[in-house]
Amino acid sequence: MLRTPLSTYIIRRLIQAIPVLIGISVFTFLMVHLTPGDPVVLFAGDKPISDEEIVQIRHQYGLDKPLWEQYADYVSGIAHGDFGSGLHSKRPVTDTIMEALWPTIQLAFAGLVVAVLFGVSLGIVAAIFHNTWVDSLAMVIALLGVSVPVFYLGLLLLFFLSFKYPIFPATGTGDLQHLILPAFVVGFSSAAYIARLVRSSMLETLRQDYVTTARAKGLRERTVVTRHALRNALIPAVTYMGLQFAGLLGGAIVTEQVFSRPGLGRVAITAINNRDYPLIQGTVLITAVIYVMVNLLVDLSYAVFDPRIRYA
Amino acid sequence: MNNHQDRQRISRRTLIGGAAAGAAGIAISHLDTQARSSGITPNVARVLRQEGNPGGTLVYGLGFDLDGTLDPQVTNYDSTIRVTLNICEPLVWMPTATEFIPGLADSWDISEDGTEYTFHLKQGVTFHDGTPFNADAVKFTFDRVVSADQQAAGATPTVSPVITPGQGHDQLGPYDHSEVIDDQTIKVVLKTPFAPFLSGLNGYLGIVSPTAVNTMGLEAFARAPVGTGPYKFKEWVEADHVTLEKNPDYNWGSSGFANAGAPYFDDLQLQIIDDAAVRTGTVTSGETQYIDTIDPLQYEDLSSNSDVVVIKQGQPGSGYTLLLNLSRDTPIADIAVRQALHYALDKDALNQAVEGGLFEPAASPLMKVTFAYDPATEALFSFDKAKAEQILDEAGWVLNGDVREKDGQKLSLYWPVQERDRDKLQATFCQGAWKDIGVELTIDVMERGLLRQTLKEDNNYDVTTMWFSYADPDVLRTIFWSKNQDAFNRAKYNNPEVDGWLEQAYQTSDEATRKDLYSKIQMQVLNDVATIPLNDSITYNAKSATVEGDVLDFLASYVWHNSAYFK
Repeated sequence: MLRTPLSTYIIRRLIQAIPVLIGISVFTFLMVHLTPGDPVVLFAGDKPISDEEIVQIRHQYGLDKPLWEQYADYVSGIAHGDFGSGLHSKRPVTDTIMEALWPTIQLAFAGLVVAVLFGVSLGIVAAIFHNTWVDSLAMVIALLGVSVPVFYLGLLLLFFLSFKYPIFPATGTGDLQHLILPAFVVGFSSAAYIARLVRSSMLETLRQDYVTTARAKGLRERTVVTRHALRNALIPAVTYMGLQFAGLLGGAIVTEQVFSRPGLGRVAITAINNRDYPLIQGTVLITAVIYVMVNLLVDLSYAVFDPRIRYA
Repeated sequence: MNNHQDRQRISRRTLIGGAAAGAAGIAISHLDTQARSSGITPNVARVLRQEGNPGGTLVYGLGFDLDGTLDPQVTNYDSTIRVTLNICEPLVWMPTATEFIPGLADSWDISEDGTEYTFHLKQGVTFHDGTPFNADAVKFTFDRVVSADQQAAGATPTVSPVITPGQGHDQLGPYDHSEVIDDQTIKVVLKTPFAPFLSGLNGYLGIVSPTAVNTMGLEAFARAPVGTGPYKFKEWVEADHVTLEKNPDYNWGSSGFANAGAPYFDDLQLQIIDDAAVRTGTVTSGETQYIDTIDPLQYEDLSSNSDVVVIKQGQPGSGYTLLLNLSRDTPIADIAVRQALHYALDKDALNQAVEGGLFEPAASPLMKVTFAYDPATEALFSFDKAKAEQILDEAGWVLNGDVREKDGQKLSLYWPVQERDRDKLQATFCQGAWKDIGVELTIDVMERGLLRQTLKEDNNYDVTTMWFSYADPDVLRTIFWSKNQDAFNRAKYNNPEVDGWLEQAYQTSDEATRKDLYSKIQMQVLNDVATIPLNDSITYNAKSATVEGDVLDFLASYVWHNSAYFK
């Protein structure tokens, strides 16, 4: 492969990701194992469990080994692609996570689409109609998006658009109509942030000399806005969108609860309540991997657009 | 020309209609006679004529997710059984507190000493995989529940593969072994007599296909169980829904059902909706047509909604009750303190505050619909704050500021509570009521895992809560038998006389004897104030008004869908 500055940059960033992931796995491992609450006791559900049974089950799952040895076993397992089996679910962690991953990514991505479309449009409109009632209205909507909690927004939308007037389904997955409400809930607060960001950076850009020049050249306002101002105004928004993906994943988790959607969020919550160590670690690890990858992509998009960054 | 044809068409329709009505009429009277002769109460043989259209999909809102398996002998969750009971049928069904109607067993004989149950099984029954249902399948189902015990004892398990049993293990009681007499007859032998045996056969002991378990393997079977039920497994999307489809070959339903043939719905879709508010919303919008456990805050709205029917039924077993830790040397050891705590509680107000008035204040640890509930318990205690204070005064607990003291010890109690709305509300209510009589209660809210560990290992609690739904009064043994101090006997109650009554009561089937014993037991644990009953839980389900023929079982937990249809 040709060793261009870009490819070197990519390789360097990928290598940098590895210690990050290791650190996360160690940290999660410690945090989960040191939290009080014995998974074996929870295992038994509401049934009484004798002390001998507890000892036997702990041994069966290797929970009586010293922590560092458990961690070493875990890592060597990963090297073979084995992330263990859920203590509670008894299924291989990889199976559970792969099944839950797609609905969550689907939701987070749909949320991102909503956030971008809604946020960018709102921001542009606010900037163009700067200091008019349109601007104020747009900013009030943005304020709502920032302040209304995800859970509340979800229930509110469900109440009006699903229960009172049965327009959208309240539960389940499958097709587009199941995705619309949850995607809106997930994307709304991001949309708000993006709107404000786009608005202020548009206002900045519209004041620039080259924009005045473009106008002076006789170009239509529409061309000025879209081809000249918008492209530059969007750079901070793109940064933000990338970073927001983590927030979207988090929002997706709460939204999954409200809309009874299967996904990583539901898996994580059940795993935590059951102290299902392997499953908790698997969930955190996959989330970390996704986050690291998305960040990498965002940084790469800079490197592609702005040559200065590649040589840093 | 036209008139002639119209008359013909109309008259043909009338003929067919008349024939149908006639047939239906005959059917009703037949079922009616059947119902009366087998002594079934009206609420079971409810709607006898099907006026609606067969077909359709019933979407059922499940309030709780499954615990990772659809294998009835492996699961610990009632919500799983709500699904599997449609697929894997039991030997008998239990519609009321003391009755059993045929399931896969047409009839049964119980030996004199109560240790042998001989079941005469239905003929012509097949599993969904085509294999025949017979005594071997019943033996397989029961033996697999104890296979792990056999292995632990060093013996070769009679059934493989060995499973880690769920609640089915407790339901089977003192099971020893089964003897296959012939294809249609099986003798189940218990180590000791066990009165609750028949009541434990439903749910977790639904009969599974041995061929399916062996060919599919445990993991695959747990994700696609095979039984003899009116519905077959179709698909399971984890954390989303389970879909079951009609078993068209089914024609061996219980004589106690309104419909003993194939079910009317084409599909049964059980949608997992944890959030009560959302679940209730879906039944009002029609997205679901039946939900379990409504959101209590929406009870008023649902009741006045003409499109929705609320189903209200009391549960059997032990209700929401406080257990006072008798093994501690804190003030809780003083019986005067415990009595005062009971007298200080206004249970009507508690019911209002915690349950929105939807449950029923309780006087006994046994819920009212359970067999052997003793109404005499209602006369033991009452809400009487003055009396509570008097008892404490007379026992030497003197008010010093806000909190009473005796011999330098403060009347201070500790109650670790689960991070759950109901638990927190109960504790806070009691804290307020007891503060009024000079008792200081410290509440510690913690999440489930931590609470389990605290209760089991630290034993530093004075008060804790209990609730145990169960079809038989033997639940009192689960909670008050001295041998269960490591398990559910969280009051650490140890009364040899009561132990004797509890042991005698589960080993005899004579109703009069059992009733008498359980009366004594209830009165004693209340007089010893090992427990303070708060309220009986009532199940509130809701369904669309277009659904008819559904039956809620005696446990008020499982819905029988085999006779249900859309109007």
